Amino acid sequence: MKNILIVDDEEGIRNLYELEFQNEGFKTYSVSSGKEALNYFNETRNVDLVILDIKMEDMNGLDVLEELRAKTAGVPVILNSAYSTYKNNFTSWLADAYLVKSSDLSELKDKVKELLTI
Amino acid sequence: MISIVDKVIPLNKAGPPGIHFLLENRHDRNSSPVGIDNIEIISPSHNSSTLREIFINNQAQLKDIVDSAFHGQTGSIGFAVESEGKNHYYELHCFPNSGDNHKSVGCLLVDRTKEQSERARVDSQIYELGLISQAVRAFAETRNLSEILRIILLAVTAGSGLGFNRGFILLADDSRECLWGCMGTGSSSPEEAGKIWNELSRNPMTFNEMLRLYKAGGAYDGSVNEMILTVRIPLSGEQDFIARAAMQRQPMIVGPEMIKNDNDLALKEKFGVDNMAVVPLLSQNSLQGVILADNIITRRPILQTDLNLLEIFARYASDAIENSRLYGKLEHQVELLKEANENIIRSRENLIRAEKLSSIGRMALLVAHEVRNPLTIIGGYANLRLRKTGADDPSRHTLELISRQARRIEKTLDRFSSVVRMSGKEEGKFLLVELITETLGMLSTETDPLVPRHTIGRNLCEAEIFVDKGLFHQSLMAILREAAGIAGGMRNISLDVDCEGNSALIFIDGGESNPKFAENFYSGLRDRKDEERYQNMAVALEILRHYGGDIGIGSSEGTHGRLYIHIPLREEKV
Repeated sequence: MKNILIVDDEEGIRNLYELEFQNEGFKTYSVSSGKEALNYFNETRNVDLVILDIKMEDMNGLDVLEELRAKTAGVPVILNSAYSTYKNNFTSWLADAYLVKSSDLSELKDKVKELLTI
Repeated sequence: MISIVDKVIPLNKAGPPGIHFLLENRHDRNSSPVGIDNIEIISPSHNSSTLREIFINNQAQLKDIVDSAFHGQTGSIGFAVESEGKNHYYELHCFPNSGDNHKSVGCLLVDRTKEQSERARVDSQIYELGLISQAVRAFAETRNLSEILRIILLAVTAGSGLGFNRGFILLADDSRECLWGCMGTGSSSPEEAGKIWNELSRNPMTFNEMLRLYKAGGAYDGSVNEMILTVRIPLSGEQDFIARAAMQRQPMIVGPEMIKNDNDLALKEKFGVDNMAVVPLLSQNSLQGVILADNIITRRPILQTDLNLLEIFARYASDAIENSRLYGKLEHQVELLKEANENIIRSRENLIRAEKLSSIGRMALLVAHEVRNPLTIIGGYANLRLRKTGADDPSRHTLELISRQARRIEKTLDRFSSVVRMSGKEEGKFLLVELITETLGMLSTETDPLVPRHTIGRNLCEAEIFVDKGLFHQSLMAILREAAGIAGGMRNISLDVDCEGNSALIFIDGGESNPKFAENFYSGLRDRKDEERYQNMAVALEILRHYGGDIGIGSSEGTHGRLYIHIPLREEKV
């Protein structure tokens, strides 16, 4: 079973994603900040894919992405933001995909499956 | 019988010399009529025989005054006598002699030939100066250079004024490196000249009448004018006689002795004359051009007096030309100022519009963040629940409604978000190549990983455009997405980047299999069937236009239309 780390400061989003991906057969962990995400990585490293929000209160998702890339280059990261304009930021290119948040999660789920080659 | 006292007596010290003589009637004036027919002139001297000739040859004119004098009336008359092809002018004054019972008459014959020719010369000068005066008045009525040149040429060639057969004007270029043939007039053949002169003698015209005809193009000579248009006189290097006159600021009469080099010879052959007046057009010592004039038809030699008069006229003509040129420059400057002013107004309007768009965008950004997360949660849960709800469940309809409305709001947010920038303005000069490469890179991160095939002209390596980097990316991406939608994917479109003049051109082609690609692109926007597409493109176009660019369709012969974006290559901020 593949492990997905969900990083988002919105509790409702975290719960929704957890439910959706658990229904799809994934094991999910969720954290509410960038720092927690980095700590989680430092402790377990048992993550197959990260769904990462960008605009969070303590740490910008793009900064988290940079640190993650430095530590674990091989783990796919999907940037998932309410903003579309971060696409213009070159740091966002470090991610494997950039998806704007949507109530229709089919695109996100397809991308996760694609990156995990399921 | 008349006896003539043949001696020259000055009338007074200041007066002209004349011949004083006496006419005597030897007949009985009561029995024979007094008349010049009955007079026998006896004179021992040569002058007297000349007098006799004058009397005999001009009896008709002199008879009345002589008869009147014999009848006691004083009188005088002026008359002309042609001798050896020249006109001589005389005055005859007759005084009755009451002392001898009117048997004799005292006469004074004065040769006025010199005064008369002097008067003719003065009259001619008055006419010529009058002509110049009329031309100068005509100069004051126009600022049009072409009209001024026509007035000059008319004055140079008009009738008995300056009266040259042909006239030409060459004007100096702005850098004063060269004289260019601008306009010429005159007859190109003796037959044509004869026709014109006959017409003028039948219907004499004043200068103003001729000017009106000339302005209307009625007296415009095509072949002479065409010839002068081919003349170009460099003012440096080996100079010809025209260049020498222009550079030395000296009018000159060109004669055979002044044909000194091959250039002179070439000019002589071109104009078909070796006698020509060359007068520089100088205004405050600044060379405006030269007037050339010749008498190719009559072959009348050009005299120093002709040159002097032409030089006087040239001074007025030079001022008129310079005024016209300055006025033209002023008009051009005014046009530039008007254009600049319009650009400023347009730029200000664009800026206000862009700021408004930007404000809306910033607001949309906040709304997007605040709304999208709860919307994702609401819609997401509705979708999640929907999948677990049977078709006959009464709550299914409500869940579907929530899901659809959530998607609808999300799409609206997407549209507004397209004009939002995360950072502040990144306005400045950017390398076009980099901007395009970055845009294509951004496109590659989207769902369709393929980017359009593209070629960028080598001459564009250093080309820069003045834009807001983020806005340009957004604009180009929106256009490319739209183009890809019409062409059936990014893989089907190609980009060809080049420049023309001061503009960069980005051609977008839908390929040979898509000949109506560009037309479809436009019709899609025009029809506004898809409001979302229309709004995205409207924003993209607004951004392009804000930076002086636009979008259009272009095609070369035999090829299908291509969509192109043009944007100015600018050195400075708009």
